[in-house]
Amino acid sequence: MTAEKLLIKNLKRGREEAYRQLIEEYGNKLLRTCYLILNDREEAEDVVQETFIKVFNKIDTFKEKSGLYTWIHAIALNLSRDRMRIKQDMLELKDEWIGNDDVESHVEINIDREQLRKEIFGMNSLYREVLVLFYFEELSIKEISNLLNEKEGTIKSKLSRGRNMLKESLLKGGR
Amino acid sequence: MNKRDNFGMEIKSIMEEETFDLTLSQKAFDNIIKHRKKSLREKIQEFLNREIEIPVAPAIIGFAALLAVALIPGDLFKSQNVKIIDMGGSHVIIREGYEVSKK
Repeated sequence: MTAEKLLIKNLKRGREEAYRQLIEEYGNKLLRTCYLILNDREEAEDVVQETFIKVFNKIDTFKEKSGLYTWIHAIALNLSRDRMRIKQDMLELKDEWIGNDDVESHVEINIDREQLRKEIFGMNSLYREVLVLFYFEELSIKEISNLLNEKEGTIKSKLSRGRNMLKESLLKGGR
Repeated sequence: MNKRDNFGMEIKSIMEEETFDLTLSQKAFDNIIKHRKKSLREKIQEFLNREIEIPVAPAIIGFAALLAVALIPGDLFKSQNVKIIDMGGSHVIIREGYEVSKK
């Protein structure tokens, strides 16, 4: 039996050490991802708490079709999206992008890190979410597509537009 | 991520810098653990160890009432309204009250 299967078994049995192990293993990782998406530490911590509580309540229904972390990750992302919807932060794709799609291929820029940092946290979370999953979590387009339940083409488009938005903002010298 | 993708590397590096010291607080950790699913053994132990709060005044009144019922004789307050007249070998019993039996 693999370590993950054993962990799931112990979680289903309600063993406290298994719950502690789960939080220690994934808690900080999840918190960092949620923080980067939500840009709010307290909210990120709330989402992580809600995620684990949901995982504990639903562990008996977990069919192990995906990995445990993938399942937990999906729950956290859904909860983050709910929060973003409340803040009306997630605009429709068509409403947001007004720049030039080709900017990336033509422009080589000197990266001002501080400005880039501001742009990342200032951009719409719809794009930031995909950037975080791709660059920070190092997930593939396919994995992101499965996680967010969106087509691979949509993910590629969001990723490309997100990058272009950042580059264009940098070229313009910030917002 | 392409190895030559400097822009992507920069994004990743900024994200890592922003979050490297970010950890779940002890309060959040404890709160999560509090909501975990409990094993059957723990549920039984919890049930057996739970504290029951009893308000003092009603408890004393109840206890006193129970004591009174158990210790005080039932006929203590019955009025002695029976007269017995001794007539040689017979007794005549005269009661002041009467009872009507229900059908």
